[in-house]
Amino acid sequence: MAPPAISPTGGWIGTTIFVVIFLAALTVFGLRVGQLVTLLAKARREDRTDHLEERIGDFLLVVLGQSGVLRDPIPGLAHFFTFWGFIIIQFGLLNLILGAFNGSLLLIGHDHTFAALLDLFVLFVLVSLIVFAVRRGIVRPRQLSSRLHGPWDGFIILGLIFLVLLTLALVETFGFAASHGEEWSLLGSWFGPSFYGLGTATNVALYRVFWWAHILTVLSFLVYLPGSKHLHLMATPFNVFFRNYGPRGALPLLENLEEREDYGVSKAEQFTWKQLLDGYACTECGRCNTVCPATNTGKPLLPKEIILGVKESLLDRRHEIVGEPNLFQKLPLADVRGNGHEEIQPLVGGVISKEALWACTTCGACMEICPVSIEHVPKIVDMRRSLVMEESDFPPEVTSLFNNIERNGNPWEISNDRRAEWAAGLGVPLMAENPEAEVLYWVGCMGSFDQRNRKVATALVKILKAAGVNFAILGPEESCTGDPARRIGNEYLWQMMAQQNIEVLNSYGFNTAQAETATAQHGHGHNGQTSRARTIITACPHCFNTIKNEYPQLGGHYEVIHHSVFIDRLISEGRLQLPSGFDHRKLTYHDPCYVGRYNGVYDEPRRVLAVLNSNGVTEMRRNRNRSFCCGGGGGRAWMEERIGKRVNQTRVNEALETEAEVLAAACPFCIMMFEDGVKGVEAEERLQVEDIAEIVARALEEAATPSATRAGQ
Amino acid sequence: MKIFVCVKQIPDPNTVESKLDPATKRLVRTGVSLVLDPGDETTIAAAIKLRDSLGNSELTAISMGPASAQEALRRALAMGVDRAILISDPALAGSDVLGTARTLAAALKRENPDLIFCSTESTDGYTGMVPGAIAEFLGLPQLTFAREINVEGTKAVIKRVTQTGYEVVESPLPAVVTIASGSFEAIYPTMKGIMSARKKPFSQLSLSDLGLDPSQVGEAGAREQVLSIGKAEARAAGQIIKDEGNAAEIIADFLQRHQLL
Repeated sequence: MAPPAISPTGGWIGTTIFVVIFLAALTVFGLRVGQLVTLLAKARREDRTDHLEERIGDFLLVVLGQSGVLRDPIPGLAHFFTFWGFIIIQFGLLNLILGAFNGSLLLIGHDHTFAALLDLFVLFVLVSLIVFAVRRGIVRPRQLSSRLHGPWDGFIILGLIFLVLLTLALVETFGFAASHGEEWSLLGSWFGPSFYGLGTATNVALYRVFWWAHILTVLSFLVYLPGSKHLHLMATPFNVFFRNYGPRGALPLLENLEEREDYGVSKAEQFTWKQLLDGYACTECGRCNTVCPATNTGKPLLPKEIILGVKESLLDRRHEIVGEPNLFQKLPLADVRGNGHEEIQPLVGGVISKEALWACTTCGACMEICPVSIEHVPKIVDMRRSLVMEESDFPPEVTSLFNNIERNGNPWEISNDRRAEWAAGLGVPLMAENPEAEVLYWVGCMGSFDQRNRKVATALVKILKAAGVNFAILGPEESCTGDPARRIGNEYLWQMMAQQNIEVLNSYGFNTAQAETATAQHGHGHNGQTSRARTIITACPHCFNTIKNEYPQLGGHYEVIHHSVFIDRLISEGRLQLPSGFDHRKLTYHDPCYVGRYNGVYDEPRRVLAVLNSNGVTEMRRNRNRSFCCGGGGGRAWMEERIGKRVNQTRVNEALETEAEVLAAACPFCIMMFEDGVKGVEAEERLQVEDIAEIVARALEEAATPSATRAGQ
Repeated sequence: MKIFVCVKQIPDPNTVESKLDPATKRLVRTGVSLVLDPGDETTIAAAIKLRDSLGNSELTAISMGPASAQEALRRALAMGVDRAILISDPALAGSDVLGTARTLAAALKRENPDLIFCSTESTDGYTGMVPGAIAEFLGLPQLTFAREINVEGTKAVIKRVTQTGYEVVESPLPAVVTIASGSFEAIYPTMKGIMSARKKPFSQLSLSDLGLDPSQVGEAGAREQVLSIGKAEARAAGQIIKDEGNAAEIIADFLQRHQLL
């Protein structure tokens, strides 16, 4: 605690004034943050304390290591230095503050190494600021615009940071000059000696002026921060720590449907605290907008505006939520927004348009790219839930979908009794006929009824037979999994369908939770076959995802495998013998959202296709976790696309850019959307849409009749 | 105002292939998926819209049918109807238009309705005669094919669909109104609707409650009789003309033969 060479306040009067201003700023800051925290405390509860060890590890990586923002290297690197510069400058600040009390920081207060490091970071941050300013002011990527905080917020922040740096540099310069080097700093040693000529008294005076300027800038920043986008600086570390560690493909369960008062979210405070924290954590970088299939095709949905809309609506309603009259209302300085009596718009249909909510395909690209773990899709579905279950307000074409799923167990006006008709003559047993089957092939509605996808189902049967898999289908006992209903917002219908299907699956002993209990009770089971958890395979990623990740919410635990993974396994186990490189057509593969992003299956389908195709797999510009949705998810396949460009055609054009002749997919919805998209861009002659199962089945035929004409020749 | 809407549970027209029982010559209604007539769903929507615009009004759905018809009425309640009445009696089995209308009219009479909504016709039987017969039994005027309906003072005013547009027709209240199909959008029930439907008033009436004699209704009181049923002639396959340079000529000849050119 050695005293500084020069007292920055010049005595107790200055120090007292400083203490008063400092405490006042801290109080205003504390009250503003208190208001924001109170809003979270009033929100719904949600437990985010599972997976504690992983949380700590990821926190270190994403917050301290800045791994999220670094995925976009230029602004990422600039952010990395700003972040660390900010932390190191805090110590410098503390040192300057202690100076007012004739003290300094222990160990580093007069340490030249620290002083040098501090100034190096001042320079790094300065360079970063230039990068940010060029990006924001000259490059101006569209995603940076902010409706909530206006066009100036970003520049105000940059300006404040610049002032912090400038005043710090001046403090150091004149501190060095006034003390003739005793108050050492790197910048001071560069610029200080030039000012020796002013005389010590002037230099001391200038040192004090800039000390005050520095302190006042920092304190204004502190007071400004809670009401600006820079709130992320405090909220993001928490948001990263409390991110979702459950299955990514699972939407949150709406509990107690029978006794609830509300169904979904129509007011901001109906979100959980974590969903609201997302709004505080949003840095408004707009990466989500750059990848969103709706935004990219001119729909009124911008994922960033959903997050900021929720935040805006929360702040609009802050007094109602906290309860009136409240401290923040009486004390405008304590209020993050000041007490304007603006007209409050409703959250849904006001701040956020219904069209925006209906445009979402739930593809999850926004959540994948977000550097701070914001959860966009659950919010959109929460608001859809309110529209569907509370207002009965949804695109009219969805009514028949709901009625058909409820009455017929499939999305169409077809009796579910006809569910196994596609398999007539293929020798496919029903589970009822072959209850000991090792594998249940869950066909799904598309495979069962849609003409195009029946071909995929038939191809998969061929594969299963060739590999000698003991399998069966459920036929009329199978119903729609409820996936489209859930993603459109009809949680009630999803739960109804899920319970029905869980009952059927459990009756055939597929529930792994039950199988374990049975094994525990009966030792190893009578022949080891019945006690073993059995496998469900499906060619539909939507069925796959909801059975695997969402049925456990209602007690249905199953071993579910997507057919692309199962086929890969059959090949690696040597159960399928395929001619390698039989297909000579140039091929590209589209990652369906619900196998790729939501379930991390990227390599298996590529491995299968790479074996079969002599050219391997040609990648599209956006691939793997950056894959661009076909436009069919989130119930969009059942809605009209009335606004903007077509999502499916956009993706088909990307496939055409690779000059591929085959667009391979692994999802019946993708196939349906792409068949339509190929026709839409009149590329039927150039591009075939094929499921991975169809390509494998053709390879099998090839293997059986080597003299047959080779595909593509 | 006391508003009523007559509804019916029918085999799901979207998925159930209609079958006729050769012995009774009637539509098979057992062992198939039964739903609230989709036509009635839109009629209910019309009635709800009017109730909500009038204020201080009660909407009751009324149906004649077996116990299973409760489900159809529950759906109506979930959609927003306030109260339901089911007339169910073994003696009602086999009712024709006359028996059905007589029964519904007897139940409606007890309630002193101001306005009775019906669909133009049911989606299974398609006779389209029950609404008229109800009006006759109750001695009320009937307004038909409404695509819009309003109450002005003591009058019902409708826009009646015609081939070229619509007519504005009015009648004193009480009255029977039939709704033109496709004029209203069915209401998909909200959760609040589904949950409250379980608690809304639901009454079940038998013939004796209505003071009707079993001989007046059902098989016994039927005045129409189905004599025979038969298959409609299958449509003959069309003629496919493959263009070998003279397709236009063949088509022109064909049209000329049928005096279409």
